[in-house]
Amino acid sequence: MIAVSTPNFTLDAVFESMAELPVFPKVVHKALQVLDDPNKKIADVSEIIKFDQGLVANILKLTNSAIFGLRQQVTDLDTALALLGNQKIREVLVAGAALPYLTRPLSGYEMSPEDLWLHSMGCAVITDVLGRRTGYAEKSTLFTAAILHDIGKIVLDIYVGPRLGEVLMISKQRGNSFSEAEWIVLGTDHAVAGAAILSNWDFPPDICRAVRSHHDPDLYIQDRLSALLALSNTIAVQLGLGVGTDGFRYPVSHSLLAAAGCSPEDYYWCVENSLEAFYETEDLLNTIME
Amino acid sequence: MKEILVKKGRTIVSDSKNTQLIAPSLGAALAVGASDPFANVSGMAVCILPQKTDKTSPMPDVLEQMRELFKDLIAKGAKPQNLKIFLAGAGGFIDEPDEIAIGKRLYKAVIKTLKKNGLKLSGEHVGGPLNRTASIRVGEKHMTITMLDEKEIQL
Repeated sequence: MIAVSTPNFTLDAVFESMAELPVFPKVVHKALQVLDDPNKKIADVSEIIKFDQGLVANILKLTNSAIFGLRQQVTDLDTALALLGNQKIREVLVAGAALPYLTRPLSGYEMSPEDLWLHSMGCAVITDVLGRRTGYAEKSTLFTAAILHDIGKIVLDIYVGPRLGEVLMISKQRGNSFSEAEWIVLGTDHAVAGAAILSNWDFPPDICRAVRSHHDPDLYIQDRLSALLALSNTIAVQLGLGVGTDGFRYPVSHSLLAAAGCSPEDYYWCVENSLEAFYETEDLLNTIME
Repeated sequence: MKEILVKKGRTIVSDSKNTQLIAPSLGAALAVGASDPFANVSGMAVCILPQKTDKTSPMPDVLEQMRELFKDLIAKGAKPQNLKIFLAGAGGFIDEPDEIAIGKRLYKAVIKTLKKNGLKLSGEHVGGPLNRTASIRVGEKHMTITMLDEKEIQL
């Protein structure tokens, strides 16, 4: 019998703690709104973000990495945005803004700074392959959800890191999924915490819902975005991309492929092509972690 | 000690002394390691595709990798009767549909191929919700497995 102390960490505590987490840059949301406006130009995006030097530096790092596929190195923001095009600008904005959050060590999940970034970008690469193969139109939405899906781990690790050892012990010894064990010990799980953070940062409800659902088989089969996010996370773990101590400790719905609009043949095609795509972007990790 | 990284979908055989073949964070991939200590040659194939969906793809499937591994081992002087063969990896979710159970499918294919060719397995550490890293020192008759939060295991 495993002795488990009563959870003293509730969702309320997460919400209180979130106030201490740096806010996702508002200029990114403004820039994304500009990209949605047919009357605005890409130069207007540059005007909004150029004063956030940290963000601009991260955008240039990402733009010059293989993942965004430019054939030339760029050193200024205007050129970078002009070469990327609308969809890639959205992706580079979100990834650039997320970088400071996703390059922290998560000791409770036994993830190094490289692991969380590798896993998040790995999922993003996989969603791109999955989206193309299965004809999913909202690629930028899927990319954003993939980059940010584990953001809740940061809050749980910061505030309850030492108790995550109990979570792992319960999952191992009782055979509970890692999410169930998080609920038993902490009174919440990292997917719920992540969705709360993203909602607080004004991300659209569909992205918050997909992040909330990404380990819940009953929820993620309810809509295609959530199913595709869950499937990309599943493939990232199978490919061993930035896998923490929770990695395989989740059930996968037997309806996941159908809910994602993905046949078994599509699935294996995506595994094969995601790995190739990932190998092409391997410089990314070194570039970003410098 | 020189380390050679064996990525998923890649096969490496070496007869260089003081060299270690290492396959990190296997996930559902299956590392097939083989050593002939008499010939001082070792190899590792890190298999991830049970079957190709596109025959023109450069990513090999498990049977292609098995063929490459044993062909290269023999080319470097290994003898089938002296081979110590190990399997590691093939992690799986705590519940998963068979159609996406990559690790189980790889394992079945490798066991079938070894049996068909009369090759014996010397040790394995496979399956379960575990993410493993496997390594072999060239010429040694062991495979070493490491995992998060677990003790190192030597097969």
